Amino acid sequence: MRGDGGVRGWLQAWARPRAGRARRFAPLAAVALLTLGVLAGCGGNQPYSTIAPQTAKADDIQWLYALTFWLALAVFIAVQAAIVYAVIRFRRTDDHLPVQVHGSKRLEIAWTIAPAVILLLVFIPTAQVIYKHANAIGTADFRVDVVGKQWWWEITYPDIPANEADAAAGPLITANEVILPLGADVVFDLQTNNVIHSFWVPQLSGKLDLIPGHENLMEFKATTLGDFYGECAEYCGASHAWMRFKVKVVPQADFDAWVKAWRTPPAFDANPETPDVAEAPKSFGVCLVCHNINGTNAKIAKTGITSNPFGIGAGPNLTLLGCRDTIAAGLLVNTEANVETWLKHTDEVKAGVYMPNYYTAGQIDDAKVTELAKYLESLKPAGGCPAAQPVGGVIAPAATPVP
Amino acid sequence: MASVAIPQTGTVVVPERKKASDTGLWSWLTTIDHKRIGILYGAFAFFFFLLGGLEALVIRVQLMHPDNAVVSPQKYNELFTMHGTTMIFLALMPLASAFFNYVMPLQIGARDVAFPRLNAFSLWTFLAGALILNLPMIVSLPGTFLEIVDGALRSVGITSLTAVANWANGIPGANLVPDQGWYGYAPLTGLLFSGQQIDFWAVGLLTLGTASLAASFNFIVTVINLRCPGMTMLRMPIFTWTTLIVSVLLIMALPAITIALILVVFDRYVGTHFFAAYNLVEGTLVTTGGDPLLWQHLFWIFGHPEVYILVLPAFGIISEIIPVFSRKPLFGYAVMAYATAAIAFLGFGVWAHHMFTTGLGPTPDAVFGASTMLIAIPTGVKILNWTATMWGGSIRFTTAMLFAVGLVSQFVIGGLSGVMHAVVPVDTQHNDSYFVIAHFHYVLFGGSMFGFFAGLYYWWPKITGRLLDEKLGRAHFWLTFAAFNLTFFPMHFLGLAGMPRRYATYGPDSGWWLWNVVATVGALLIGLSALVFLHNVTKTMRKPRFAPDNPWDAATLEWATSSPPPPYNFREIPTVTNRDPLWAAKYGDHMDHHEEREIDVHFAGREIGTVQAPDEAEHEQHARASAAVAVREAAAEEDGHGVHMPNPSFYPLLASLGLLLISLGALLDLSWSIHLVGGLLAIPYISLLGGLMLFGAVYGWAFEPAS
Repeated sequence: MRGDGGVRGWLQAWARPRAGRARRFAPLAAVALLTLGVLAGCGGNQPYSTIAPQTAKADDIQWLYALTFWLALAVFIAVQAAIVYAVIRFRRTDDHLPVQVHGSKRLEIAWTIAPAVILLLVFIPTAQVIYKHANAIGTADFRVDVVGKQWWWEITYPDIPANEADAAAGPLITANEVILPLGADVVFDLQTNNVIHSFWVPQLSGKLDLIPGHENLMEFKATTLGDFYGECAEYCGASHAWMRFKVKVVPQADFDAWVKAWRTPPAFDANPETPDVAEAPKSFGVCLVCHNINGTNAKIAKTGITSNPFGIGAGPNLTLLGCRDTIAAGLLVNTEANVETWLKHTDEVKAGVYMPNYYTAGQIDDAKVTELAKYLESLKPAGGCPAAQPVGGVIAPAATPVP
Repeated sequence: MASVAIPQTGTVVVPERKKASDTGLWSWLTTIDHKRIGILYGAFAFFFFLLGGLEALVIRVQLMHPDNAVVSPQKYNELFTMHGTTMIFLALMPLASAFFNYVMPLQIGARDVAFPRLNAFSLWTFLAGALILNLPMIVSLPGTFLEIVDGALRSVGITSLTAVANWANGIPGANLVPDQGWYGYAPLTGLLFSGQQIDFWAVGLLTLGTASLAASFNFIVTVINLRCPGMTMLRMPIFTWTTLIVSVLLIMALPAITIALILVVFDRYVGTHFFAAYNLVEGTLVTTGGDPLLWQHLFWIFGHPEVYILVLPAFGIISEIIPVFSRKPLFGYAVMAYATAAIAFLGFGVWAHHMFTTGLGPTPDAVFGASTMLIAIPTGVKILNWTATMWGGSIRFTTAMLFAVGLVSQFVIGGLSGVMHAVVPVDTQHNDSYFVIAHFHYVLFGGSMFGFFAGLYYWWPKITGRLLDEKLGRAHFWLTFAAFNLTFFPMHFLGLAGMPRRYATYGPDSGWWLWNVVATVGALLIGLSALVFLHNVTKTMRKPRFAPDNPWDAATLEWATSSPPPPYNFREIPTVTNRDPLWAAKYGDHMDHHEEREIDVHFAGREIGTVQAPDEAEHEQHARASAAVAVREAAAEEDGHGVHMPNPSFYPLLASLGLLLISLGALLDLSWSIHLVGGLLAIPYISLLGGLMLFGAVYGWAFEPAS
């Protein structure tokens, strides 16, 4: 250590003699850091990773990314090497006047053409993948409608009726968790009637925006079992960070069981004094304006793209809520205690939320909050929730034929 | 590094103290001198750079830990909105204006810009727009910081500050900070989803646009008309070229955002629905026929050229610096000028690459992907031409040169990640993630800001007459360089790990914690590096080392006059016969290289004009030019005899003040008219006063004698 001590002295001592050397090592350090980062991306537990693809579509994107990454790395190293070589080799040593070169026709043509060639190499597969993915939409046969809300996702299966006997009952609807059977060639119909959102499950596909007045379609084929983390990727207001969701790819049998459970009214008798088990608890009275539970008397809330965007009369469908991993779109782990927290501190835990806090408004008391939490957690299939899936996916076992 | 940064020896005259009437507050308020206006632009811009940096630091501290609650989500949204808006419109753009103002007229051998009073009007109108934009933020900042301190205190059980923090957060206006993001996507800006904070943002930007337009027209007319004798277009310094091209970019790009912003105001207060697909009528949702995507198109038709408006000035600056400190002329001068123009032109054809995830369809995606890739070609040519300029040179590593080389090196990273985003499928993974944040900070910090720092160190002796401390300068550079990479390189990893931008916080199960900590440490170090720079400035102000006229042995005309230059710049307007007039005068004919102009002509594939072989006449002209440059020594003992300069004027400031009041009145009156329906009490007194002031000022301005 030299200089006059202290931070300033250290900085000066560090900066002065090593300026050249540090520059020489800068690209090396950058490459090392990059490698480290890529390793960290693969090795760590990163459920939103864009570079751990689990569908053929995400594989295509990954392939393009790898192509551009290695080309970029090559260009990066070449250019940095030229810069570093120039600044070391041609450092001023004496007072001589260098040869006054004004340009070089040949060189400049060369480094106009070279990047053009590289870019052409990148562009051709880019265009191929763009059209391949666009064309795949037409052949997909498993439709899921997604309506972006502030700040949660309404998931509708338009081809799966809520009640096989009654067409008027509408389709199967859930929220914040997309359950898919393994092998489904899914097309998501993305719409919203409030602000712009973006539907993004990095391991399964690139993102696509939900734009008021537009209908955007996204396709991928679910070929890996597991839980895949999704999130809103377009800034959509106060609680943008709490608009998370999951895509759960399950074996076909589990999916069928889930659909069956969804159609079955809750077994839990919320009001033992009345004979009707399908009746939600009395305390649910303030809730059923916005929340439906299939098979119960809670069925007046509006759904779909025409529902009021401000949450009045259109909240998440709560059927089988007891099996969801989180509540409030990824904000809280789904436990009875957290449901109570949510009911008592709604607006404190989720900024800007449209759901009124009926607890502070005095419309439900502690006892009713407990009752509600117990009831909501009871909304599960008779045989219990399906076994948890691995986060990030596992390759489907060979025994399970992938159609 | 034995021979670093030894300024040219030369006669240095310690300047005499100036009279108070020349330096007092009034002289600054009424100045129409392009140099003083440049200094004021720079000072205001640097203030906003620090403010925007402070906002960024709060953002980084908030993201240091999963589920952190240093600031509320609402405050966080305000902070990133104001950070982006401030850095782009109030720091980088006016910093470019500062250099355009100060340097360009000197470089072309002019006495001032074409319209000096309009220039002052641009400056004060910029300040008015900045004030409108930041008024709620200024009111809100105390509450934000009290909230942070209060949060820290409460975590150790002290609650005494809570009441004060709540009071500060309740100050009228503190809840009106724009919070919709710097590109303000509709329909978040509509009345259904936001309050009056949008008005401050929209009116602020409209006012800033007025300032930028006036300044741009001024620069264009100046470059076209006020070049000194002999300075043909292809003899202009490359920074002057940049000034011209960026000014043209501005006047073509700004109308798009101006229209878009006016439509936003219409949507909010006139009942139109340009950008809203739905409206709520008596509790029922109805479709309106409007389209939020229209906003995105209009915004990015402005917004993408805007990126080049921010970075091309820095390119221009380092295109001056690298040749000087390599002691070689710029490699491929004409190609560099054309590349700048090509980037600017192509910049208007790529806007939809900001919209690859909006579902435009495969063909637009492919076309805009291709057009975006095309921009990499002229940009790559620039990078390699700078490298070739250094090649074979005799490089002096002054701080200015370090920042310039830093730009060349770091911009490559931002450029390469930019090409990745042109690969549409990859962009669907990267768009709106931290990968994009990393990308544009490499472009705007590693590019623009490095360039502006290079320019500050390079022209500081010309502007102030004093040299900055080179040791501190090098410390500043290396600290900035390291801290910048520490902050923004990990953001690539965060993006790849799927972290979206504009998240107030993230869950512990996301796997994003590590690189967020690294980035936060880096950001704090960037803050420290800014302090090193400020220390350098204050230190060299207290203990000045006076600069000679041409401390760097530079080649362009601004170094042919004293440091700082007299108000009239040159006692005698110089005549030039060479692209690098001072080098030609000093080192003689062998600097002049005529073949190269031929190369430029053929390379560009078009006819520029007749290329003249060196002949007797030109040699004679050249000799005269050398003499003319030598004459400026005499100007050092100047008293300004015979040079007519326009008088200072108060009218530009008054006109801008009028504009400020019109805008402020509109904002305040709008709130009144909301509360006091009926309208009688909503007479816009303030706007009316502002209108009268503007009218009076323009009237006075028009009839004010020029000198």
